[in-house]
Amino acid sequence: MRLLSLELLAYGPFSEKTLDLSDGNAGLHLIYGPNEAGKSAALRGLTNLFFGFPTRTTDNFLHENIRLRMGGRIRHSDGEELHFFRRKGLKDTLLDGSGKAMTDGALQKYLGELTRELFVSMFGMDHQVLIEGGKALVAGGGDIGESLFAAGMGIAGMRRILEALEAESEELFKPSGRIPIINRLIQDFKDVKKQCADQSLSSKDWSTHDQALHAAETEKRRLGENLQMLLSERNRMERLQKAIPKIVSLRRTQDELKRLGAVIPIPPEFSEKRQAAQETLRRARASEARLQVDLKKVEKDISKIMPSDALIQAQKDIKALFLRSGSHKKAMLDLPKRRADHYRLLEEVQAILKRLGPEWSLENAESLRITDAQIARIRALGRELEPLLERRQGANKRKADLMAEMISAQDDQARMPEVRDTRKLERLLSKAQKQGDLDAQFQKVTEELSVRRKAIDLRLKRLEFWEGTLEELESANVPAEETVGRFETEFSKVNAEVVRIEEAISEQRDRLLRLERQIEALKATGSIPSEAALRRARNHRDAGWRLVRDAWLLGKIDSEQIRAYDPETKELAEGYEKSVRAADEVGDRLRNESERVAKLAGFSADREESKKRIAALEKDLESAKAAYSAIESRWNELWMALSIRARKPKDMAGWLKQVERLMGEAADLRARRAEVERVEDLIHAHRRALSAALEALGETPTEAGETLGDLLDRCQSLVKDMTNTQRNRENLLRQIKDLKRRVVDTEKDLKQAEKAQSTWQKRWGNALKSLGLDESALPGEADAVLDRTQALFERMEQAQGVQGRIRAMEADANQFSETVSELCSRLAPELQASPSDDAVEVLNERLEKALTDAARLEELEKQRKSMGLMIREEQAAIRESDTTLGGMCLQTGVCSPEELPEMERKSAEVRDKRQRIETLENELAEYSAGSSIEALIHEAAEIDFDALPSVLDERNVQIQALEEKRSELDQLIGSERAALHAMDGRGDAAELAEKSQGLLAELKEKAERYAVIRVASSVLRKEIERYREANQGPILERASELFRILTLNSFQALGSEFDEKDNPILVGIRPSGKKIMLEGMSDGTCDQLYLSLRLASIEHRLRDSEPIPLILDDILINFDDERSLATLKILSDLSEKAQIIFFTHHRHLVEIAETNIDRDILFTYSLA
Amino acid sequence: MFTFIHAADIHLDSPLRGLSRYEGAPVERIRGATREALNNLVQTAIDENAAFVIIAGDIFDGDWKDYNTGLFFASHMSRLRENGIQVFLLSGNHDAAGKITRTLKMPDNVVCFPTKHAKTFILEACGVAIHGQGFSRPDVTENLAAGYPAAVEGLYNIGVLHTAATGREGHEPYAPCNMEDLIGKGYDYWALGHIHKREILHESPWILFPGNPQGRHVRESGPKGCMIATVDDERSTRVEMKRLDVICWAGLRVDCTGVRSGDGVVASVRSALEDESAHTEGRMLAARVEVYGSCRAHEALTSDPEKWINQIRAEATDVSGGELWLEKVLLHTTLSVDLKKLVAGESPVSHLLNFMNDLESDPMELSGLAELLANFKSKLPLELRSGEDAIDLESPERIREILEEARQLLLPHLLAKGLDQ
Repeated sequence: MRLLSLELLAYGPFSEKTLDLSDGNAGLHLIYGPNEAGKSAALRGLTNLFFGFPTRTTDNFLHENIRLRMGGRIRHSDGEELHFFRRKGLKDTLLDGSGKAMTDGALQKYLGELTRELFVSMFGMDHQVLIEGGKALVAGGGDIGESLFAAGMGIAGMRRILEALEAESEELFKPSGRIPIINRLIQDFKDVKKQCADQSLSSKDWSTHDQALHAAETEKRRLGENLQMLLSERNRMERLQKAIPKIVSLRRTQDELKRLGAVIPIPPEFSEKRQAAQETLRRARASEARLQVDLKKVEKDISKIMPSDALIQAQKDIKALFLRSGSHKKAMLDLPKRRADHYRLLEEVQAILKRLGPEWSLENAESLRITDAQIARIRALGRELEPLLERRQGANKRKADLMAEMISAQDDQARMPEVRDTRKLERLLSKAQKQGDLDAQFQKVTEELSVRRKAIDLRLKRLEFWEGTLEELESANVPAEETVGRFETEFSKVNAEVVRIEEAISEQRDRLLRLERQIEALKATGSIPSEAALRRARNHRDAGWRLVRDAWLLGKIDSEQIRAYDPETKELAEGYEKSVRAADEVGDRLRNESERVAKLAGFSADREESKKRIAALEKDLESAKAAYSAIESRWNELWMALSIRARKPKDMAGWLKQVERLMGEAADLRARRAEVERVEDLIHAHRRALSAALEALGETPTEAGETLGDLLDRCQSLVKDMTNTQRNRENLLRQIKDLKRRVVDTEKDLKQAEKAQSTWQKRWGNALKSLGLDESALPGEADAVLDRTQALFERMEQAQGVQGRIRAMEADANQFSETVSELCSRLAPELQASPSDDAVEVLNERLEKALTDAARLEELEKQRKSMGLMIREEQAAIRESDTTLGGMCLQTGVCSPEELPEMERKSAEVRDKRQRIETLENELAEYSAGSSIEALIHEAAEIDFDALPSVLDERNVQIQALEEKRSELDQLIGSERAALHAMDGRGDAAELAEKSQGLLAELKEKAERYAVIRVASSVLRKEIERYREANQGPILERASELFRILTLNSFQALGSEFDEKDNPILVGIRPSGKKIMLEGMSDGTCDQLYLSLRLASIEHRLRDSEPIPLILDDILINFDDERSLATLKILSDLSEKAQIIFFTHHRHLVEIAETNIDRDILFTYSLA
Repeated sequence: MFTFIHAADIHLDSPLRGLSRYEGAPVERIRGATREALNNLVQTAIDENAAFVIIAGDIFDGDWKDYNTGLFFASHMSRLRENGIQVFLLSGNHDAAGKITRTLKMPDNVVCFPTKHAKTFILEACGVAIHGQGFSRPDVTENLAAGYPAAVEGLYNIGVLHTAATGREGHEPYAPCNMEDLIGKGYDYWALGHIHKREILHESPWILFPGNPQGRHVRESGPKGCMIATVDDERSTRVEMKRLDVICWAGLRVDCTGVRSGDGVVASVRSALEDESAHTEGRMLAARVEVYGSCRAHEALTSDPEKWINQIRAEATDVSGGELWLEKVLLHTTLSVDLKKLVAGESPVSHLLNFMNDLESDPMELSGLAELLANFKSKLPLELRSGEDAIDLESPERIREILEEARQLLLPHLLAKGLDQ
């Protein structure tokens, strides 16, 4: 096939652009398209022309989807031509020359089995593929199989694909290692499984523990009983061990008591009483003797004392004088000091008078005296002056301050800006604000609109079968839901009919098959004779007979006929005999096996009938299918108007629902759009009104870019400024008024202060006159005169007091001396000559002595009387004791008190023994464990006391052993109970089993993926190898030649080698014969190698396939001029067999081609 | 009038199978599902004031050895005892295979049928005769029903039997019997066990399998539970199914024909899951999803299946709020190219496809491929090599499937350039 013309009717940037590619044999067509001329679009258009437009395209920027159109004229190698067009759509996109739809099958003849994918990769090549192909060759190490396969497919390389498979495979699993996913999962699974087994409780474990617990509890019970017995035995022994020594002691005491015999019992207090009586007697006798001696000594002292009565009688007078003599002595010492004080005070008075003035002396000083009231008034007046002065000064200062403040306020007032009327603006503002935030509203509704719009667009885009706009959809004539429903019913009816018939056919076929099997079965049991067979046998026999007759009667022997009659025997006689036998046999069998024959006939008839039935049913089926297609074509017509290739009615009903929903949303969209406009109008109206109001106030009107919100803010701040100014101005006026009022008040204050001061001055002058000062004197001066006068009168009064005291002291001294002299003349005339002080002292001493003697005498008399009494008392006590002791002797039957102690000792001993016996019996009662002491004593008598400790030790050992055993059992029971308690039906193992199943599932998933990867990889490798084996020879030979040309003989050929894994690999061979591995080649050389392989593969394919144009896209960008030319030459050779369409945007390349390639092979075009 | 509960095939502590774990999978929710179901059974018996409970075999899993499971079961039977409910247990093939049943001490409200011969228990209070014989060994292949006694006149007769009846796919054909055997006994109710799918074989008399109380893998899908039978004074029986399951299994096929991108596939699956989740009545859903259809999305899916499976899983978690476990995501989409043309054409790909077609139809080649995987399989744990969960890497059918998957994996690579257009 070759392309005669490429018509870019409406595609990408092209409109009605046609490239005539019909020149030449097949031709090398060089299409020049500078940048932006649409070279790529033309390339895509070419593919789309053959294979249809993709659902989404970027080439609709100039022409709408529905108008996109490509056209082309192609010619098959057999000379047939086809002119066709391609439009974008879902169905019937291929149109013939007159614009009528064709099926894609119309191109089958020209394109063969090519799909879009294969066409693009095998027959399209661009610069990028060339470079990647070259690189991939190196990456693949020049593996011949991979290189050929990749070049044959037109893809860059196989190595990447193989490696990707390999990598995933290794990531999943390696025969050894722990990291790959599957290896890891296997290990995890094993681990969890083990954990699960560990967590599992075996039933044996449980019953072991259960039995162990039971046994231990029984053992513990038995043990407890034994222990109880041992313990009571030990108690008994311990009891006896303690009781036996006491029993011995009891017996001994009883014996001792018996030995003491009969003794008069004496009460325990007897001995004490006896000792007390003897002691009293001894003490009384000693005391009496001592008292007699003392009495004689007192009587002697009394006779020695004689006190003076005269002095004692005058005791009162002497004591009074002795007391006065002290104060008399002190007054005589004090008198000279008082006289000195008097003199000093008089001196101070003289001094003060001198300071008051020369006119004052003691004599006239009294006229200086003024009253306390006067003094107080003068001082008070003095204190009044200072406040008066302060008040006046204060008023003056206040007045000055107020005046200054007023001047400043008046200045402020003068500077205040003027006030404008903003009421209209405020009204507009409030009106606009009542609307809320219109800007935000506008933004919100606009956004919502856009979101809805986008959502609807998206839904529209997702809506199948529809490429138009929403508006188009709204106005499109979409079938009604009922129509679709009707179709659905019709379809299902016809469909059911088809199914019914098909089932009937299948049933008949089954029957047919069954019949045939039955016939087969019948036949298998031996051939069935038929009437026909009989006829055949008889005919054969008859023919034989004719030959026999001819030979026999006519002597005619036709040896050829005879041989033919029975090829086996070749003899007539034998052959005829055989035929007679055979005919008879068939006849016999027919008669004998009539039943089987009939059955066979029956089956055969049924078979025929079944076949007929099938034929009839098939006819029905055909007509039912026809009915189905009739409905189908009506159905398709219904949708055709909408250019929709409809699916089943059920699907389309769903589609209709979507459309209906979209319609609803479209209405909603319109309502939202109206809302956007309404808000926008409102915003404009408010802006206009506010702007006008601002202008009227002399402000700048609204400006571009200022939103309504900004404008409102500006208006609001203007109104606020105005309101503030007005308020400030009012405040200032109020302030000035207030200041004026306060100045007047201050002036009033000042006047009042001045008046008060002059009043005070008058009163001050009057008050000072009494002090002899004039009115100009200051309050301080007046205070000084007043202080001094006060001091003068204090000193004068003190001097008068001291003088009175001196006189009283002198009178007291005289009266004391007279009284002393009178007393001495009466009691001690010898003292009259002594000073009165000394005489009083001597008299007092003598009185003190007389008084002491009299007291001593009285004391001694008292002693003598008391001693006489005591002596009589002791004598009575001696008598009483004697009587008591005599009575005691009588009671105990002894002769004298000295025998009493022995008697007392014996009696006490008897009492002790009895008490001990009682104590021992009580103690033994405690050990008798409830029985009598006698029983205990009896029990003790039967026991071997010496053996007791060892028996007890033995019991203790036994008890201890049993107790240890019991404790062990307790522990065992505890641990068994705990073990059983831990076996609580928990689900740990079950959970682990769950987990292991999870791992197993994951493992299975990964293992399945691994299997697919492994198989894919293996199959691909095998196919690559197969491909190599099949194609290596011819393709490599041609590629080798091309490589030599493309490398300008830098390489002589391509050869093959084996790598270290024995894979065949490609090498380049230099003219010198040296082999160059691929990694030793330059990038450019590798590109040329890849190109060689590609072109060789394509040429190889041309040998037995319809040629397909080769579409090249600027593959020579990296080639130098010489190599470019070499390539172009190769291509021009190739173009003998297959058309080559070469797109380039290099003018230079066109020039090289035009200069070097024949004009009947090369044709150039420009897209510009 | 009285009510009884008929359950079977509890398989207590038998793990849920096939739930590979992934980020966001509701691991906690599957914990102890069969235990929960048993709990629900006991609660149902109490709530319904049942006279007795029949469990027609397979209480435990045969190869499960953890005695804790038995203790758990016994503790639940004790709960029934506290509520005065008697229990009739019949050992099934699994119970006979395991040790737990033999050694477990049951509370005294539990009656076990003998395994040597059929025995009849009479419940005077409700006028009921219950006949049954358990499995003495795992593989009982004789017709046990044949040895059951005739109906006791004047009483309501119940036959308890663990059987595969006339045989059911996926179940061993143990204790086979046919309808006539059972109907012929003249019983009023045959309480069968062994088949995990609920099935009513006959209505008068009632002959039925209640199915298992909790599905354990995707093949046991749909609602699961027990039967509540109410018998009135005329001995006529009303039967009602009661759900006991806590996890509901489902298999979903999602048609992705024509879907262009992996995201589109994810969205389709999401929508299918949303539909399915609506029917679980609050249970957790364990679903297998198979995506199929020829589509452009196939290329993306095969180039990184793990990524897309993870996305689908994340979507499932999102849809259900963690109430859904995707057991498996099968990506069975195909490439949207004309395979027939590719096969018929003259390109290396055509050769490859033809080669693969040849492999598919050649048993020798298929076994050769199986050989390729045999060594790998031998490394897998025993559980994957044999038994119910074994992975099949050798049967010709499976190798053909693998080949198909390999084909769908390779094609996008080889046609990559053309697909870009």
